[in-house]
Amino acid sequence: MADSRIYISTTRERRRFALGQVTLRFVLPFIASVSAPTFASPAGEVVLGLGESTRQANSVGQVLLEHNVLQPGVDSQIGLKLRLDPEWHTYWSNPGDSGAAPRFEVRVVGRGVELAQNTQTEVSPGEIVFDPIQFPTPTRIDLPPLTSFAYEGEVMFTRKLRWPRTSSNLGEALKALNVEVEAEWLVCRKECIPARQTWRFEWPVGEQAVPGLRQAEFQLNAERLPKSWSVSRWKWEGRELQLLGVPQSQGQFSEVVDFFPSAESGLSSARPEISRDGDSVRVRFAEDSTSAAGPAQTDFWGLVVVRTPNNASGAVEGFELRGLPQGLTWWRALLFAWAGGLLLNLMPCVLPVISLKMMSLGKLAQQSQREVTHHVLAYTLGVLSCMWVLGVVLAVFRSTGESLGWGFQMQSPGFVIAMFAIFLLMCWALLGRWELGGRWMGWGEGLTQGSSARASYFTGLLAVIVASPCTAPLMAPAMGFALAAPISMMFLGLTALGVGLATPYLLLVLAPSLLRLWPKPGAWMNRLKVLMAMGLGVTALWLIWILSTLWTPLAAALVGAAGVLMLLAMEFRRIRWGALAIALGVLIFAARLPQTSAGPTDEFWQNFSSQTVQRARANGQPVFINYTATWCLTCQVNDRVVFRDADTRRWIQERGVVMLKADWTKSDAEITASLKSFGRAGVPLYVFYPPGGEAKLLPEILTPALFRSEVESALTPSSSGP
Amino acid sequence: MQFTKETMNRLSRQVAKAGVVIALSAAFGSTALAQVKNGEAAPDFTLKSAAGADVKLSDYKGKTVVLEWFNNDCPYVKKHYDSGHMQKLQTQETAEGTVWLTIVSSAPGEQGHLEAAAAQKLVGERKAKMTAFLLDPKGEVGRRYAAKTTPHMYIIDSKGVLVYQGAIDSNSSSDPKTIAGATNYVTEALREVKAGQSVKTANTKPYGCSVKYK
Repeated sequence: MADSRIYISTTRERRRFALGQVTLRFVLPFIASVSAPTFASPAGEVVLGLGESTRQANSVGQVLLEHNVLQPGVDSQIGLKLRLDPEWHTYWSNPGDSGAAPRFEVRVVGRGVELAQNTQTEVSPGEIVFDPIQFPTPTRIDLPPLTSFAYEGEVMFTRKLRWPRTSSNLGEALKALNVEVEAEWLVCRKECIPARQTWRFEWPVGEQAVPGLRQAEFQLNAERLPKSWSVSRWKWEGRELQLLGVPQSQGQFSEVVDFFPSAESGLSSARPEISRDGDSVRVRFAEDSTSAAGPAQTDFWGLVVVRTPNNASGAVEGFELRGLPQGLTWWRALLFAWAGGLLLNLMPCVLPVISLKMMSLGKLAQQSQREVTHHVLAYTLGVLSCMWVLGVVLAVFRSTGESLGWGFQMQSPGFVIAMFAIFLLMCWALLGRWELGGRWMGWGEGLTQGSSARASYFTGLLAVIVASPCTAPLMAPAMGFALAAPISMMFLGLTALGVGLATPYLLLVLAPSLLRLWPKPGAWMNRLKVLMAMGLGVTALWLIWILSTLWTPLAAALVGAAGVLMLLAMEFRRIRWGALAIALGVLIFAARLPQTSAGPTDEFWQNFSSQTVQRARANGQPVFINYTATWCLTCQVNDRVVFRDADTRRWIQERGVVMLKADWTKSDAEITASLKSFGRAGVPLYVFYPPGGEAKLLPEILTPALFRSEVESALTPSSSGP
Repeated sequence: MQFTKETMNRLSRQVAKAGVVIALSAAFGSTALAQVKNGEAAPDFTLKSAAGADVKLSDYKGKTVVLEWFNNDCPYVKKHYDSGHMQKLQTQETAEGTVWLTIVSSAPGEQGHLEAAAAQKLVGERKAKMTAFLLDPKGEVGRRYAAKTTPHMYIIDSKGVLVYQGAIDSNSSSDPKTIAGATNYVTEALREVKAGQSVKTANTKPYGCSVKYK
């Protein structure tokens, strides 16, 4: 650990600290228990402070913090640790046939404290978020004829604290969080005793995060949390779960030995029948009056329990099964990826770049067919190599457990700035302003209007980079499938996408007669060049706008100014180095500005979080989730056409639909996981939950009428059950 | 298949496991729970009530019947009884002609088990207003209906068809303060049955302590 600032350094401080601990842990509770009648007596009604534990229901419960001092922007964790008496157990999120899942609620009110005055600052909703409870893998406890999923001995339930929007104002004013933890847990042997406890304490906030004394426990606990099951594809057939392509025992796993269904799945808790059939594993659930036909639609199905290899003693590991089963067969996914790539040619992101290709092709049309073939193949190779690099990056991230989605490049400001620079340069070059120095000349040619194969290669690379923000309609399910599938499948999918993108030009190779249709070069080419240059300029401006949503508008404007300075540097030799230096300085200044994305908030939307969704659904309200990002053109178009329309808004409000916006402009793990649960890896995604019903996915390109008809058809009553 | 030592070990382990299961099931009778699906005819049963009479489910054909699984020592049953909520529900529904049968399936020696005299006394102490308090010490009726928790609620309509099974309400906390804000599935289902409609929320996951079968 890099920073291990230790609180206690001198002997005197150590003694004082120890005395304080003794007082806190022994003397005070003793006094409290002795003078019990003067306090509100029933166990759980007394509110405890941070260091205090409670002994009730044959268990000891306490609250632990990963960091003693929080730093805004740095994630932390809060844990509820329970130590259970021998023979007693407490429950998992699905308790099984009986029992109850623990409740662990955390609430915060921010408090800014100035030494002179007492200022109270409210933490606005969304600035500090507590993720849902993380449960370690439980064990199955059988008490025939019933079964439960529970923990014996010791267990810690954790919740992550995240700062989704770091605001510098909050950081300075906030000195501590007033935290209230309300916990309820059930402890059973044969009989059951409920336990309840509230803790209230201050969680200090400072400039540097200070790890807590029990931080090691959080790290240990992280190992007990179930990982994600991504070993194979899977599907449901009635009450049977089929895991397809599970490696044999020589591989990573020894055996699938059990499956703990989630509470939402409605599956029977009874031990399922597990059998192996070639390279697939079948998990057959008992018939339960609740789910005789098949599981309820959910995005968390439960835990696949696997015996770890070379371990006959029975040590097992749990893996979370999430998401919609892959309904898309692999060849259909490839077809969709190819078609999506084809459609990308028409998308506004890609068109400016393609226009460059058109220029050079126009010239080539006059030359030999072999030249054309060379160029087209070079272009295709450029497209494919970029796709493969993307694939490698995604694979690397996947292997380390992080999830990225399609379009993740646009979430990084550095990438957006780089693209802005490229587009600006291309625009400038097309306008013919780029004719300085031999060094620049060669590079400029290579990028834009050169007639070498290298030019085509670079155009291909560029096309892919720029295509990422636009998810063409057919691409979304295909990309979601490909990115979640085994690595070879993922590369195949990306290749299909690349080939689709390059297809219009590949056609020229296959049908050279088409070339004859190409209009002869003339004055129109110059006009087209200017038009395309303007298109590139507009795209550059669009990138600056995206940057203003990733950073602040001021920072983005500064970057824009730096870009202009850069162009001036190229234009006027005399001021070149001066202008470049200023440009660099402006860039560095812009990067160091505080990064708020506090834009005008639209009252129509609430922020997305899985808790908000669960709460609204539990209240029987219809929920609509708009997964969007500022850099996603399709999303922005839909937003303007459908969601800003006054009539549609009124229509929505009449039906009392809870409208949630999942803004994926910046990287967000919760939204990425939520997208993944629908088998998607990018935006846009529109999900509608009718009250008491299953999720319905709307098409990627929406019109007000289409939106209304889709929601209306989902709202018409159908046979339902929880 | 190669009869290696590993295979033999694995085989013998599995045979031993099977043997244990067979032995256990022989010793304890059928340990599995049967089940009744919504829309099926509710199986008939005869149980002795706390008052000593023989009560048959088919006696009540033509009336709506509520079955409530009960264990006096379970914190979740206490949540509804200590607060008076369950008694109020019973009074309300029996006044409208619904038959309310409370059943105890705890085996002798297990938590919640009651002999007839103690059961009678309890009904008085609790001021409970069920139509009959039935004792099922062998757990046969509980197993037949796959009753898993206390409380576990079932509603049978006047034609003898099971139309609801599951939790009493939507909040599984043991805190009685949560009863007011929770949706009571039983009240809603009874209302829909009375109006001749189909029950919208017909199947919920029951919460509570496990039924203490043998």
